[in-house]
Amino acid sequence: MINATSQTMTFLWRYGKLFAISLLLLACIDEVQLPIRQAERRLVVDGLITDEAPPYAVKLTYSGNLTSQLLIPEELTVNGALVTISDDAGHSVKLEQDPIAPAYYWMRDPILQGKAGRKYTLTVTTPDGQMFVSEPELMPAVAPIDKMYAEYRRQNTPLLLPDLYDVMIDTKDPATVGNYYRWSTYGYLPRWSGYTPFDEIPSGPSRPCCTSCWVPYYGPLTDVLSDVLVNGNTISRHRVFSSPVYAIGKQYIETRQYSLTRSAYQYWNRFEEQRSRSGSLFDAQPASIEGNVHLKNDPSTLALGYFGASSVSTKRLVIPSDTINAAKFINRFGRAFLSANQNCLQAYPLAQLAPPINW
Amino acid sequence: MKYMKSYLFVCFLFYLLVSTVALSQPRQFDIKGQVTDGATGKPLIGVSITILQLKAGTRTDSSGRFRLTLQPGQYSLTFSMIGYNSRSRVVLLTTSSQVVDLSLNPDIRDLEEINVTGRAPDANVSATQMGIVRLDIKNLKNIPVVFGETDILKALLLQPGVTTVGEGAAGFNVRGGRTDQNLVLLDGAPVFNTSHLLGMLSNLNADAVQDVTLYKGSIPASYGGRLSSLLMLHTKSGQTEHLTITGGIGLLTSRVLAQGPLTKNKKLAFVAGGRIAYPNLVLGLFPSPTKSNKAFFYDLNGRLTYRPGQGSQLTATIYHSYDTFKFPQDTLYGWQTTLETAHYSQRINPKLSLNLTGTQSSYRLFLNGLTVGNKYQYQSSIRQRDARLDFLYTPKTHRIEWGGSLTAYQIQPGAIKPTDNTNVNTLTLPTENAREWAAYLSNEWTPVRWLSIQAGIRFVQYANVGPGVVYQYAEGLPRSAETITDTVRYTAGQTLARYGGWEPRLMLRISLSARSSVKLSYNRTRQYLHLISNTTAISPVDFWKSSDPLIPPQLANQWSIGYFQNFRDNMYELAIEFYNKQLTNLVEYKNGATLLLNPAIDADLLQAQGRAYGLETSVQKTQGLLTGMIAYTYARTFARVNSPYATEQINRGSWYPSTFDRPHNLTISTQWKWRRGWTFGTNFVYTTGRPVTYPDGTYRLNTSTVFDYSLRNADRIPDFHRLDVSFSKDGRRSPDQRRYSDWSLSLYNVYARKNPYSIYFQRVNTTTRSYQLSVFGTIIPSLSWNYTY
Repeated sequence: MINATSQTMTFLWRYGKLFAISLLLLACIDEVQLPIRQAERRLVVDGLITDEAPPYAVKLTYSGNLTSQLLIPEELTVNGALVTISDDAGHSVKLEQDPIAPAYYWMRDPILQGKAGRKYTLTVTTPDGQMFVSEPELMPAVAPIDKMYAEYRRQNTPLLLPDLYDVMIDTKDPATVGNYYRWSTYGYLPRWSGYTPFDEIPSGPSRPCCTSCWVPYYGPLTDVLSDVLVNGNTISRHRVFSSPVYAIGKQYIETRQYSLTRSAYQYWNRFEEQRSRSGSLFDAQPASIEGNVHLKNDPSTLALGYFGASSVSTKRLVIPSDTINAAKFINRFGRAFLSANQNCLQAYPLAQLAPPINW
Repeated sequence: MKYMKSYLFVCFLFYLLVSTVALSQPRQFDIKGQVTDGATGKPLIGVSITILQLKAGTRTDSSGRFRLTLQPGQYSLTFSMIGYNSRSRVVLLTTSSQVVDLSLNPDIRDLEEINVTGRAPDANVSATQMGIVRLDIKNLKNIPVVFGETDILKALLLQPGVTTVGEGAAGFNVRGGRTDQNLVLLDGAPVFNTSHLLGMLSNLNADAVQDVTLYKGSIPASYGGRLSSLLMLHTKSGQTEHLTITGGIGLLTSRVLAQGPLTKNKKLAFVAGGRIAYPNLVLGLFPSPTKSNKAFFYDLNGRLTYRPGQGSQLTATIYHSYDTFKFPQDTLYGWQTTLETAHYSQRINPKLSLNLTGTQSSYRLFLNGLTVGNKYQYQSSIRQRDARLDFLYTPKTHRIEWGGSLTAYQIQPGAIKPTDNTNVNTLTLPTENAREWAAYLSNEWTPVRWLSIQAGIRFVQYANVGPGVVYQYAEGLPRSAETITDTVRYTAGQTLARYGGWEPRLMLRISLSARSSVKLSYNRTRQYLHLISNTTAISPVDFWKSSDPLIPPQLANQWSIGYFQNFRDNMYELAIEFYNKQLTNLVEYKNGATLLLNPAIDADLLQAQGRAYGLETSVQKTQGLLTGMIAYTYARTFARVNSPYATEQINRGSWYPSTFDRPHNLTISTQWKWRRGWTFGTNFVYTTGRPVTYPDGTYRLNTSTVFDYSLRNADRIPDFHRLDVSFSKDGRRSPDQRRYSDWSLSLYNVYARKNPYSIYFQRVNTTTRSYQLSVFGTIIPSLSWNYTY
């Protein structure tokens, strides 16, 4: 079946936003104080099984009032749930709760390593005794990434923003209709700071330059595509990541291409639509984004989030960055992206001093 | 009598004055002269001339002359006459007589404009119909407007029962109905999209239109096809005495309209006009990226009227409107409307006449992807052709109308094709074809003076015909692309689905006195065309869809009752109307529905029920130098989407307020005619904020924090209110002056209120913040100039 959600749609959504901006010639935006209504908490399921070797994680939380950027507050963590994943071949594995991060439940049994064509079901019994099940989720096969390459893009803005490498991939869509893709990309990118952790940092004027370290950067996680308009063709020049050039040095990029079912594709599409709401009248009516998990006894009570099953193909790329003229670069950006008075590990969380090996 | 008395009094005073002065002061001089009409140059008889200092005066004689004999001194003379602007003149009388010749200009404020609709002064009370709005086109330019563009639809928004989802949004909502439930007929042809510039303006050129009638309730039996309202517009007839050209310049558009006879015997007359816009001038004032967007639009109206003999008339009209909106290097949106009509009317005898009409209406939307490597053209279109024959028979106490119509619809719901080397495949959704025939009979009968009845019945048959494809879905499962069990193909001419039925229309007027009446009305309407749009406002990518086996026609039943009273010799009109409307088979959308280029769109649509009720009250002052209206409406509108499947329910299947549910509406609109052609206009508008969906929780998924919007339309944006003023000057000195200019200065949103257009939420670091977006968040002055030649 043809599902026509397509690039066009994505374009329309993206430009719905622009629309609003352009339409509202004399518009102004002000912050207003409105209380956030608190409804009863709902279960949020965030789980994925792949054809890569386990472990796989299922994260269970509740909706509510989130006050921190990264941490899930304790009252919104689902602690002590009974979680199992089973397949249509009769295997069933109980997941282990992570002792340090209790929202995470791990599947480590190799017997349930994902295979394309199999169906997987998640069952969650929450501590208050409610039993949620997912629809059996098919793991579709995925095409390999044929080509991965990068193009330099200069940012022409008055703001001092770093130039970018647009990382793009080509992949051949199979002749059958109904292939859905999701990409996620990350990279280890060089950054500069004045000192290494082994230096003693003197007070007074900082050192001119530079010591490098490599810092992980993540691309969007919900970049999805349907083959409806491109069925059987090569999906070419699909941009998966815009890698910022903060410093000159090799960039190490990895892209993962996931297969999706139609319902997962629709889910992520809605998710993305929700994330990019601009509040204009050209936005679709907002609604709860419900996935494939519901209360077993009452299918009309739906959980938030999605339990997905995806095949993965991975490709890596090293961008040499050797075409950038260092003198011009330093002349243009100066110390804008340089953390001169700190050592590298202080300045950039999760940084490592050496580039990744075997890339 | 009154004049006689004052005349005698003035004469007496003058006599006293002259005699006393004559006694004491023998040296006297004359002030004399002639007063003429400033417009025609003819002498004016009976102009009163008063001397302020002496409280005395005289009148002009039959040749417009006057003479005052006074002792030397400085005198201030005031020349005044009913129907003319007064003038004053200071005269210094020293050693000789003075001659004062002057002209008075007609006071155009007092001129009764020709009533083109033929509406009786007491129609509010005596007509059988209710729920009708007739716009006074001549008064439109005195209503304050944004950007100086006179706009028919924006003027309608001041009427009770007519609302919009947001300032600057396209379309309008009548009595809780959706924007696609309004049948807009320009010279009888339907207009599928009424917006210019994404809805900022309407594409109906007010200069070219002669009359505007909106039926909010009692839709005549001769029309159908939309649930909520009928908006009828007719272009000017061009039957003027001589060629007239009107032109105008505003901030956004320039316009020109020519009309007049084409032959000496004036049997053939024409109207031709248009507007062209240069919104890029205004866009250019804004910072990037708004600045780099480009917009353009124009519209054209044309009409030929031929009157071969007594009682017959042949008319042909054409209308075209075109819009584009471009984002740099990205996407170009465009939409265009073309209407063609031909109309023949013949009076067979003084009591019987017939009207024969043929119309064609085409609407096309296109969207060009301009990104390198992803160039494509998307388009959707609709074409409707109508032929209709109407008879009118008016024996004593009856007014009988009957007739019928044939309609053919052709809809291309969407097609995409690549325009260069891109990896986009061509996809064309199958064209939809539908036929409709309708017959009606209506009789307005006034058996006794205190009672009149208008009873009408309309019968419609609609068929969706092949070629076409119908998907069969599995029973007992929610419809989705996965539950399609079969695909049935129909060949050309085969019927896919057939709908139709009776649509009764009933109106009743009971007079309580010569100045008051009670009216009742009942209406049933069906709608076979649906605008597919999941956004709050109509957006340019919306497309039309015809009813098919899985999308039944929308149906509405409306009851209304009203009390009407006129005061002070029909100077004030009071109207109180209550209505109640039930709607079924409204089109709703599943969460995350795919609308564009979806061949199995049935699977993404839901059926909703609607209900609306309201009380509309208005007091209108229609005569005098100060005219205007105060209207207050309390109106509610709700929707419900219920289904056995949880994923197909909205708000768990309970009633929720529709997006355009705005309970309290107050409008005060006044036009105050000053001297010398000036008019001071004001609008004040207050409405409850529209319902909106706020998040009621947050959760984290995939490293993003997202909002959970679990209840639709459970909250409201803050209330809307606004005051506008305008000063317009009619440059005419007499009603039949051929060349004149008029000016209009508008101040929109005088107290610069930041009226909320929408509210949205964003996560900023660790907190949820809410933002309000205002469209016209400041005072907007604008100036426009018109010239008539």
